[in-house]
Amino acid sequence: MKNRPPKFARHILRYFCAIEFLEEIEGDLHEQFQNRLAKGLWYARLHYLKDVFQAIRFYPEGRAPLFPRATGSFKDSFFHFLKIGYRNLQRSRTTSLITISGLAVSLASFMLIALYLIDESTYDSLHPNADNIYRISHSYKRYGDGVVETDARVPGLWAVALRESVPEVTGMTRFSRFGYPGSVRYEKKNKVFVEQQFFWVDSTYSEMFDLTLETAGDPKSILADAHAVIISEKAAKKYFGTEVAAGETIIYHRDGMDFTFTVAAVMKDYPANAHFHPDFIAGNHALEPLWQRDNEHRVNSWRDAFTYSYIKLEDGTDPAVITAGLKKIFKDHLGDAAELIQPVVVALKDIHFNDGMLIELEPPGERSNLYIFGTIGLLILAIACINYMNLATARSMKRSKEVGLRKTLGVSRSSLVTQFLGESILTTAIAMCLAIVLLLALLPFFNELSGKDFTAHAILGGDVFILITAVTFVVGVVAGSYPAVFLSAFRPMDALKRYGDSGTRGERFRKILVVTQFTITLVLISGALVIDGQLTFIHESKLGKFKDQIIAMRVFDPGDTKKVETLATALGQNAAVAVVAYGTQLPRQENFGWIDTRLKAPALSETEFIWALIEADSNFPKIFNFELAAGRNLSGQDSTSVLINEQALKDLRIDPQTAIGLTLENPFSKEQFRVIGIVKDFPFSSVRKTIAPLIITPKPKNAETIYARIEGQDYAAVITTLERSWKTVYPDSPFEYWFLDDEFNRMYRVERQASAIVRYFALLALCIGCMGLFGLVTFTAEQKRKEIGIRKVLGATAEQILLLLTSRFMKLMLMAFVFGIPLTYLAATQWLNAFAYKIPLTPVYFVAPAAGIIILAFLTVGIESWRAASARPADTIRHE
Amino acid sequence: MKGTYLGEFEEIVLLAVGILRDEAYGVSIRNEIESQTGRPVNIGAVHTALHRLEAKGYLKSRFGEATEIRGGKRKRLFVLTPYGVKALKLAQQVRSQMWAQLPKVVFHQK
Repeated sequence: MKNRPPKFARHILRYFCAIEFLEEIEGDLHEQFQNRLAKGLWYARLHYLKDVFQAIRFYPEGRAPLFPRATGSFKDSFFHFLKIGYRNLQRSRTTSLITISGLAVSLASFMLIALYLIDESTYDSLHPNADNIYRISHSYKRYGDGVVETDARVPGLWAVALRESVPEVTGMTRFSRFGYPGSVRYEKKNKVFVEQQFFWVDSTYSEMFDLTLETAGDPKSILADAHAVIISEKAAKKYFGTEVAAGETIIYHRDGMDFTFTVAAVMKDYPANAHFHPDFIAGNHALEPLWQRDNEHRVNSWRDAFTYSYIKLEDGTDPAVITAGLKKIFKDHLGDAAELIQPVVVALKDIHFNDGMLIELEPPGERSNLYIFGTIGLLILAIACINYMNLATARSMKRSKEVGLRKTLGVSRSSLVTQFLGESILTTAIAMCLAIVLLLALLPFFNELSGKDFTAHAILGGDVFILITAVTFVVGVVAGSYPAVFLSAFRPMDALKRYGDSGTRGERFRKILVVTQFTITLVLISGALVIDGQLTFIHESKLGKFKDQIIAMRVFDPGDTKKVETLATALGQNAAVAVVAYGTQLPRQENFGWIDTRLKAPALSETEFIWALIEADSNFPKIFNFELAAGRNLSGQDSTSVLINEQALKDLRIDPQTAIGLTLENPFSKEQFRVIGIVKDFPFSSVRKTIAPLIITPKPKNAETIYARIEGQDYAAVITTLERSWKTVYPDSPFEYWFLDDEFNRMYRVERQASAIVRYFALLALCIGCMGLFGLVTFTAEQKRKEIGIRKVLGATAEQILLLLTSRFMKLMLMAFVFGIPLTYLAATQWLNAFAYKIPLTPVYFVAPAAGIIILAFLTVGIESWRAASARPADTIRHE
Repeated sequence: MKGTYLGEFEEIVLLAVGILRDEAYGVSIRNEIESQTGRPVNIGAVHTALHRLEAKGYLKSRFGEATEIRGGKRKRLFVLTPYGVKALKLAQQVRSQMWAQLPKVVFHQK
């Protein structure tokens, strides 16, 4: 399908080539095309096109050639139009400058956004056969409260059974990811790291996913070897630097067991737009001793949802066969549980935008942001097109004589339309050249903003070139369409007879355009403010209050309570450390979730609740400054006292006084807890989710993370001392830490990007809009020079004239606000609905930007108007 | 002798057709010329030359087989006519005649 010569080129050939030569020539060109495919599809396509143009010299007898070479009139008129277009650009420098720079800036913005969108929407297309691969997940009713949850993983035997029972399934692979606290040790260099991206795969991995080895070796046989591992380029650099990685020995450590591996090959890192990024890949049979748990094999199990399973289907198969196949498997193998479980099938390319699954491999993207960005890109482009239309039609007076003369000499209207369209395409092309320069200059900045890694090479090569050409053409035609129709409609008599058109024609349309332009600007700026406000709100929410002062450290060996305690004590002795606390990792439920616990209150009822669980010590509430609604805080020794939050209280349906002293029981382990305090609700997971009921139990022995709140600003010095304390406890392990701030930033990456992108582009839109306004005012003032002069002679003051000129535009602004404010309100409400905790939409978000726009527009209009108003009438009224 | 005049490119095309014998068609002729002379040749130029030569009677053509690589289109296979062979011979004769008359001193010029 893809490796065909371009269709339109073949049509051209068929149209122009004489029938008696057609078969031979078409065949020859097709053969050459096939031969050139080795050098790339686009290379072959472009050469095919070139060949076609050379072949159309075989004209059929009697058919008139389209471009007669003998007279060359087309060529002549083309260069003529080009020359006229160029002279027009030169004659009105200010207007051209405004139009071209406005277009250039907006084209550059549009291209950046387009790049971002292309990248986001081609997630996982690196894998061959990506279109036919599906991941199977499952949803289930939670025991107890019956809430439906979806787990990205499934028990390993499901995929195996599916492969055997459904004939359309042509391939299957599974992998499990073992993250914290598994660590990798390279003894030669004494390096140890906790590794999150260690993948344990089936030997069919390379049949389904891209696995390009940088070094020699066959992936399949490596994965079959229980002592061989493939590592990523990134991991190779981390452990071996510039030295050769292949052949080195590394040791994987988990649950007190060591597994020795030889690095068999280095694989090419996956690009950023893939939904998982393995650093280590080894055959899953290598970890056999760890797979036995509770008398069940974790990988080959019917019930233990432990593996990520992927299925390849035959071309053109409806993925519904997977669902049907799985339902049958549930019935055959799961017994009663089959009722509670539903299969969930997601196409590989959709996984990136698939929100709301537990234990997802990487945080998903936000599809609505893509729409927001796409809209912004188009709106900015629209503003620039409007500038062009406005200025081009406003200047029509100057061109009317030209049009009149041309028409008198017999030029057809369609020819004039071609001319004006050609001019706008020329303008756009010049702007596009500037835009590309701008784009390359802004690239590093944009990469930082968007978290992508675009390179100049990727942008200028390949398909993007097609995009550039297409955008130039489309924008040129759109921007030029109205001026072309408008200008070519002049009647030659009027155009030549009169001293000149006063430029008032098309005024109504120009007004509509200005109103549209500022409506768009207002929407963008208000939108940016709302997004910004919401983000600030998130950052200042309770948990984030001290975030930049809290350093978190992952405990290296969580089983060893002694060491953890020693470390906490050592850390606490630092003068710069205010509080040290143990706890589960925050923010919860992103990647390491789901720590939920089942509880009931026997004194009240037999109802079971499922609450989120934080295992912490008595300092934990202190370090995050939790406020107590009732009762007291956890104390040092008390191991059965717990805190619950207000949501949990709501679940229990009792008042705080009754709750204090209440006994809670875990119906599984029969463990009992006594409630001693109620914490005010705080968002312990993503702010997008509602705050769930929570219980905080004092169980430092299970702590994964140690938090230290530090005082003062000299972070570097504090970290050095913290590292020293760490080394006394874990001398061989690297000191890895992060600021809670970073963790929050990572979590709200999507929102932060959206906010930054919207903010910058809204400002751009405002600038471009004001530039257009400036051009329009300059023009109007010029038009009205005589009027102003006469008014002044008749006694008008400069202020009155200023008012006359500016009031027109102010009216348009006000109209823009009338349209823009309700529009923004609707859009903002929609966006905020995605958050459980949100800011109220106060009028400030609309009035402030409106006022800003008014002031800016007034300045833009005022400066130029004042100049016109204060000119000496003697200069302006004089004829000649 | 009007009508038997051969341009340089036409001569090369004729020679290529002769060399390729039963396998002479657009693409193969182009490739042959490219590999023999080392200069890039457009397929369009080859087509033009072939058809002009056929019109002059130096070549005759027939349709060959259709293949997958050609998108199911047949080849037009060219062969030299006796007249074409004669034109080539004549061209060579003119050349060798003139070569023979080239004074030796030409070769010593630097």
